Amino acid sequence: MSRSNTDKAMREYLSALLTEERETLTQPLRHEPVARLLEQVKPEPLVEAEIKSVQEEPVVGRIAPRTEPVVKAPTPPAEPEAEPAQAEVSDTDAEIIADVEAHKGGAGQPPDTSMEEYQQHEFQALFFKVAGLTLAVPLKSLGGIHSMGKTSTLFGKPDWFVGIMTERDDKLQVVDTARWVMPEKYNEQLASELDYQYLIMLSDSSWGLACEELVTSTTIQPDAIQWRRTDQGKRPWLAGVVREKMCALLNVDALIAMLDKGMGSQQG
Amino acid sequence: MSDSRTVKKATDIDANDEVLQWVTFRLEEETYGINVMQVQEVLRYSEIAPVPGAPDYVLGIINLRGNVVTVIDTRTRFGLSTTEVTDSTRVVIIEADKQVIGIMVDSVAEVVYLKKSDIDSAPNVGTEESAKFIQGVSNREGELLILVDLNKLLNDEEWDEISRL
Repeated sequence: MSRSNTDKAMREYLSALLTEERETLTQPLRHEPVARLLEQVKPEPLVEAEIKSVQEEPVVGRIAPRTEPVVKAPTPPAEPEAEPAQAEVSDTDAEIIADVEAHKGGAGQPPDTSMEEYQQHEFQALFFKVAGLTLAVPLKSLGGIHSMGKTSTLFGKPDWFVGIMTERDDKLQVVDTARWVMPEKYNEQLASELDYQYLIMLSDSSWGLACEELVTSTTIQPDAIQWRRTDQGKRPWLAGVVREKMCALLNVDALIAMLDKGMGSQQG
Repeated sequence: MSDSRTVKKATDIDANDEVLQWVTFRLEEETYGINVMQVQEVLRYSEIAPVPGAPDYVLGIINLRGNVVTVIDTRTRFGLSTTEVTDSTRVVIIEADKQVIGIMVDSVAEVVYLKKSDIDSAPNVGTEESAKFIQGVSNREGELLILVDLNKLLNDEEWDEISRL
């Protein structure tokens, strides 16, 4: 199956997965925001004061080093450290990462990451791709982005649990996102085609979703989403569908709870 | 706070942070550690006599200076794929649950020192029986060391069965 066919199949699959009533896929994903971000590259590091000053407008163009989690509570740049290895990250991805970093907010009060909050106010979300499937995660619920590194496999774990990736003192628990989200579509061919590049960390948990591509980050209005009812028992990890992009918006808290219990995407 | 009080406190913390020694071995590209106190010796691979009717995780028995020792196929026990015996293959003789057994591993690496505080619990998401064998994990020089609880390698019934082989 060609890549475009795979993409098409995945979109159709997602459409069937997410929507109760049939909707027509009218618009493909747009990458224009990424192009705009690319025009404003400024490779200097982000400092605490800058992060705190971030309001609603995007601050873009800061390239995060590979070994640093991109979105973390900022620390004062008092002690100079050795230069971390630079990322083999594409400019586009670096821009998205920088944009995400800029919108993550400072180290003040913990953000309100409840879905009720997202349903009432506009919010920033990161879009990323896995096996042709696009998923969105609210930036406030994003714990960071890491480049994929070596993972150590632990025996006796669910098949979607890739293993542990060590990142400095952190032990990041890597989820094979394609396998978790669509186990029924997962086969040898899909597995061989997967090329995970990044790890999308979920809130302040140790869980990270492996992804192939960072698409963009953008502001979403609550009415642009077809929200799922919170009392719907099935797939609590699915907060709703971003209508324009026809992609799933993740309920990160619910997703973390499921992963902690070793549950698959269809359980719960 | 005075300097002397500060020093005392630091010393107390170090005293409570026990340092443990672990023998490390390799299995399928991963590094595992077992408590050095439970390791009696490490042997090169030699012929292992199969035991008819033994569980699948039992490779067979060896004669260790007059004593019959059961050898466990660690890969099978951990749910990993089997592999060929190589020059690096070793049988680690261990004592667990008051019994002496051998565990076959791909290779033995070294003895490492770990502070207790450097050991984290493993993610508790395993549904497989083998998940309970993992005692903890530790990040050592950028590599993950998986610490195995030998006392849980076999349950009571399995220990009984092994002793009757």
